[in-house]
Amino acid sequence: MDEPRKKSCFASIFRSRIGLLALFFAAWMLLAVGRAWYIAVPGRAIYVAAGEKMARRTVKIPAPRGRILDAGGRALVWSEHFYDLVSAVPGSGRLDVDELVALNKVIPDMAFEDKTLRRNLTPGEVMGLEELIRSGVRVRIVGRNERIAIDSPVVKRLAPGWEKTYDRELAGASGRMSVMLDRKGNWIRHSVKLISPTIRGSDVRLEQTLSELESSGSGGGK
Amino acid sequence: MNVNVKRNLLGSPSVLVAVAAFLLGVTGVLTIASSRYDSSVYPDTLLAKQALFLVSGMIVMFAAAAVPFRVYRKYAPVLGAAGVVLLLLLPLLGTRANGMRGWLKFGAFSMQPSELMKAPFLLVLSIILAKRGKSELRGFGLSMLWMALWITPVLLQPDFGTAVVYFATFVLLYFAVGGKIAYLLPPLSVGAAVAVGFVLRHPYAWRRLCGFVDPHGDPLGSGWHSLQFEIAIARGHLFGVKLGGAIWSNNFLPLPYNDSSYATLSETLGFTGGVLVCGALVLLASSLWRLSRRPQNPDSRIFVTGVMLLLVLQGMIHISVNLCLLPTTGLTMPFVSYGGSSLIGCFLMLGMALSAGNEREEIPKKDKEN
Repeated sequence: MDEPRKKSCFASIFRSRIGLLALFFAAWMLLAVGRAWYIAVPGRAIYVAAGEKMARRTVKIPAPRGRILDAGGRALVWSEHFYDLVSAVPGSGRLDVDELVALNKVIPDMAFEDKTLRRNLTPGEVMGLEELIRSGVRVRIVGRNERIAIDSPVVKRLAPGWEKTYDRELAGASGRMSVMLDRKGNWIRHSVKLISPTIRGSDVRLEQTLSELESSGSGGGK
Repeated sequence: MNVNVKRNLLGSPSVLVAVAAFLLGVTGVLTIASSRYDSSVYPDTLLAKQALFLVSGMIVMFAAAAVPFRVYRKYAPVLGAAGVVLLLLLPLLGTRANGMRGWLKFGAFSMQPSELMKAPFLLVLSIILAKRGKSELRGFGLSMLWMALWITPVLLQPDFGTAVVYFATFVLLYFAVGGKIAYLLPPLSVGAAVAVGFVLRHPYAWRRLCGFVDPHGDPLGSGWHSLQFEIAIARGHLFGVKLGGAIWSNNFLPLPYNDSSYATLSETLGFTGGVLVCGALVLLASSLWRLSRRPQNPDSRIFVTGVMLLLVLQGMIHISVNLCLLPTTGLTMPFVSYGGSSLIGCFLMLGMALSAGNEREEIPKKDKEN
């Protein structure tokens, strides 16, 4: 076959076969767009619900407990919120060397009491740790409410009794929220939805002042 | 500039190819920017890097387009050999990431040869296919040998997705250039046998296949990826979630900016963003098709067609995997997914395709003088 005929033959086969391939790809593309439309619009509710069911958990929000005040309004007992760092490794809780090295950069003085690696984290440490947790280090930040009493032996002795006596007023009502958890069980930021708000516990005012309590050495009553 | 010249320039396939690639690249950058999830430095670093890769890629494309195609033709054996050497170095010196040994590291710089060296693969393949006229069987055998030489180290990484793209591009290109369909039957049978062997040898591949067939059968195991893709796309609805709200992509999708970039894009930009990407891919393919009809030299035409087929195939496989139309496999979306090797490799291919598409048949000196 001479050169120009050969070229025109090549061009003609080329055109027809490319046309066939174009049809094949066009059909594939239409199928893909159709599938994307189905997932994003008519089937959306089913998929979103499946995702929510898989990842969303309902969590109780403990109500802040009210304070116990003396007759003069001075706080004798109150609550403070703390954050602890704990190992999320099941069983022994032992972390890998790489994880410990990474943690050591954020928290140089880690303790190893049971699974608790550090108590009372600072806000800066919490922020630094969040990134480490996202990168896969197997630790968790756990919140904890602690009751604090002023430095008085009488108050320290009587506080458990007051807590019990005025529990209904101090307790308040806990709220509920839902939050999404990632595959590692960590909370996903911006996914929190409040279901019912917490009602803070009321403060309880005793009938005696601190000095009166200390001199009598007995409990006050309202 | 008069109106006609302006219209011609805007309608020129070369310009449209560059515009479509840029549009896809910008969509990739936008996806990272809009899915910024929290204040962590991680996405911002990705964003800056991807923007830098995009600019570098465009420069690479224009530089590659400025080089005459005859230069590529002349140095094709060298470029092809360099590609094979880099791929063969992977089992010895490759760095393992995401379950495969696919990266070569040079200090702080790393590259993925199977992504970066797609252009030399197509260049050599085009030349072999163009020269097969005298003996169809010999030409086919040589092109098969070249393809096998290229995909064996890719399969050994193991990167099944990229190997499929290379193999399918070869099959479609051979078909497009008028090859004998009967010759394709043995490699297709071998390809199917290799795929079956790969699935049986690698348990993860079998699990993915099971997860594709019935994702609800094991939603927390083999069906996990398929379900997460669907949920992410569904959350995007028509116009995407609000800025910073791409919760699903950031927490549940595997490699959200690489192998899951279409699903991430659909969550952040919605169905509209997904269609925009499909439209840009169609524009790119049609412009490359028009470009492939220009040159007179068969190898140039075949090269441009090869680039078109490879990009469209890879894009369609990526989109289909993310839409759960195909089993899960790790494959980047051309120009959209995060990664320097992928982006620059694609732009290099386009630059060479532009050079091939704009090549005019060289008139021998004697004819010129007459």
